[in-house]
Amino acid sequence: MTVSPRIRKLLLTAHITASVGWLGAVAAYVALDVTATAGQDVQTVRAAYLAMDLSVRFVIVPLALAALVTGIVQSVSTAWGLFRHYWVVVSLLLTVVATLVLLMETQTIGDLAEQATIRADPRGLPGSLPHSIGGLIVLLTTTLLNMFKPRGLTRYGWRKQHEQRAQLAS
Amino acid sequence: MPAASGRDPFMADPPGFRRNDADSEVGPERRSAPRMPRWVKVSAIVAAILIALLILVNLTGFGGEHGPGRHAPGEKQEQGHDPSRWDHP
Repeated sequence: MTVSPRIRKLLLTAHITASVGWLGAVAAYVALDVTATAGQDVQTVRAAYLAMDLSVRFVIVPLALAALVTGIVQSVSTAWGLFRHYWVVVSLLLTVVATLVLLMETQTIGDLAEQATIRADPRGLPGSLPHSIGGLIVLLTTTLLNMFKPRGLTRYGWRKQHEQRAQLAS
Repeated sequence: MPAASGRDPFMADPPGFRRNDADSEVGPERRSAPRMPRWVKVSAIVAAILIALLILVNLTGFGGEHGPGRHAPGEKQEQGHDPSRWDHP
C-alpha cells in the first residue's frame, strides 16, 4: 500500500502523538498509583483512585487503541512493512500485549475506584503498581525500538526484498 | 535528514537507505536468508524468563489474588462487595 507523502506525514504525526501521549499518560497514572498505594491522607487516596479510573477510561485506553491502529497503518503504508523487520514485529507484539493487559485492567481499576468511593478508609486497597510500572517499561521499550530501529530482516522481509529486486532486474 | 536530499524527512531511516556496513541484509547481494539478530534472541530469552516468573508467581499465589476476574461484576452479587478482599493483613 502506498500513500502520498502528505498523507504519510499526517499518519506519522497521528502515530507519534498517540504513542507519546500514551507514554505520558501512563507516567502520570503511575504518579496517581503511587499516591493511591502509599498515600496517608484518606481524601487524597480516594481522589487518586477516582483520577486513575477517569484517566484510564478517557485518556489511556483511547490513546492505546489509537497508537496501535496508527502504528499498523503506518507500517503497511511505508517500506518498513508490518512483518519485514524484527523491530517492527517486536514493537507490534509489545503494543498488542500492552493494550490487551490495559483493557483487562480497566475493569479492575474501575472496581478499585468504586471501592475507594464506598469505603470510609480506602488506604487498604492494593492499587495497580505492578501493571502500571510494567506498562511504562514496555512503552519505553517500544519508543526506543522505534527511535533506534535495530537492524534485522525477517525471513518474510528478506523474501519480499528479493522479489522486489527480481522485479526491478527484469 | 534534510528534505533537500530527496528523502522523506519524517522517515529518517527508511530501510532502503541504510549505509551501515553491518546491515548486510539490505546490501546489494545476499543468497541465504538472514539469521535472527542477537538482540532479538536476547529479548526473546528475557521475555521467556519474565513470562515463566509471572506464571510461577501466579501458580504459587505469592503475588496474591490476580487477574481481572477477581472483581467480576457477578462476584459482587455473590460476595456482596466484601471489602476484606482488598484488606492488607
